[in-house]
Amino acid sequence: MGKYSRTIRRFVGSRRAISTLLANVIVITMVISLGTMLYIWTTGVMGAYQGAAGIWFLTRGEVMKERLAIEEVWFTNIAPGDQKNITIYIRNVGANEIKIAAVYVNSTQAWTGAKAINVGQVSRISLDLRPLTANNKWGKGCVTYISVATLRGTVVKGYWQAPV
Amino acid sequence: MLKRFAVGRKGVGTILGAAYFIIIVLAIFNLIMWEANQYDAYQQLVGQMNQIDQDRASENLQFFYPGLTDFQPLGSGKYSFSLLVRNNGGITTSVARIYFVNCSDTSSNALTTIEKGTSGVNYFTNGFINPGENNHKISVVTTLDMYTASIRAEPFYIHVATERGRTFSTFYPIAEALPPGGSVPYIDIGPLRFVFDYNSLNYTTINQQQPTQGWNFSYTGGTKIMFFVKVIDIDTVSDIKLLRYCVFDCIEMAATGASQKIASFYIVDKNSKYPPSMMYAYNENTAQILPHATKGAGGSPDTLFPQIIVFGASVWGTNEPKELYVGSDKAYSYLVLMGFYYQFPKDTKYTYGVTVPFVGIRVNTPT
Repeated sequence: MGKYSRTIRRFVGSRRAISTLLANVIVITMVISLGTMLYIWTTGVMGAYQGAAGIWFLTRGEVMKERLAIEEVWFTNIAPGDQKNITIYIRNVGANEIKIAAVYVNSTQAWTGAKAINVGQVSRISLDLRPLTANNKWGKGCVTYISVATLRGTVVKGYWQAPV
Repeated sequence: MLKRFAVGRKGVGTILGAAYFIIIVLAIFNLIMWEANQYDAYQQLVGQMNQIDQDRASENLQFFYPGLTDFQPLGSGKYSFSLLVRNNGGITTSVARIYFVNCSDTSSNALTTIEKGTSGVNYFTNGFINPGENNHKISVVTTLDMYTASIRAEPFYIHVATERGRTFSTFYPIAEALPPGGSVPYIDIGPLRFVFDYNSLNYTTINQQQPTQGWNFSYTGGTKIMFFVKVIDIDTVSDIKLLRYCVFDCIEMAATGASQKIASFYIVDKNSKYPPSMMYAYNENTAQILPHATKGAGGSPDTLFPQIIVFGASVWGTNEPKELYVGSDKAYSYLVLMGFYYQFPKDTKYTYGVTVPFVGIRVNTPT
């Protein structure tokens, strides 16, 4: 400490270059504070971006793994001969568990729910056509448009002909 | 150097600025690397799923005629048979489930699902089909009596679902394209095949004791006559038992059309040679059996066993002989209608009656 005491006494007693020194201190302080703010802002922005992008990749990846097949559509009855039931068999042929959210018959929602199907498994969904409209039934020999949607948004659709 | 750096007053701002710049550049670089990593992982997943889709699209199963074969009753209401397929795709295919839809049944029992398995009921084995494999047999055990259904011509839809999510369908019985018209000298009606070559329709009388062609021959009125017809059971599983009502109707043709003169010759014992002395009554207790064909191995043709059926009795189940209606030596022609009544499979409750499309025979006609 004794080594620098003379230097400190000279610095305190001297009246030269005070403004230059203060200016340097102020500039350095400003640079540090602004730089810190910039760093914090940049980190926040990048974190937010990473979070959003991560969710996007995760969601798209989960959807990409979904594959399902409607392997059988059976046109049948509730009461004998009323032609008001369609039974479909859906197989999960993807790499992820799927949840069936809705089934549409001729673009009208015929079933909703959250039926889970594990990978490689098949599930049966019975569609009651009675609540749809007063006279809604499958017609003999008619082509029926059926689409199946999962909770993640995958849609599988196709046309099936009822027995003649 | 550290001492000079500590007491020096030049370039502090530059150093700080450079440090901040480097930090920010590194942060952005880190962000870019993270995103590239994420994107790469996503693209790998896309590639994997595209490969799965391509594999699925490469599957191609075709049903092999006749579709079902090797019928066997197992008892306890269970039956086994084989589903014939070939893999025309470029990838091995594994069958996950088979659906049988009975088109004749409107009840809730019309759909039968057959699962992969090795025991129980409604299961199948050997569902793994290599590419290029032909005549592959998927062994099915089920409560469906497809054999009886096939001989009754009950139609079924068969859907084969694979583990990759493809479904291949066929209608059973599978329709077979017929050869060009006129190229095949036979007619198949159900399990019966009627051969139409020159010696497939013969006759004998007391004056013609060796069977000879019966399409056009000399005949003296009042002569008792017998006819011999060649028939084959083309079914590869079941024999046919002929019933005594089998008949060979000869309808006399007049210039104005069919007359009212019909000579009906009922089936007689197969050991009959010529009427009247060597003609024996037909006995259903020792009935004539048409043996079934033997399935050809490895895609080779089936082995068939032609049988001769003899007609000659005027009353069924007797040996009373019969003659054709003719006058002196005039030329006559006859429209012949053969009625076959049989049990198929033999000794079951299923009896059938079929007629062979008309054939014509002529007597005393100059050639």
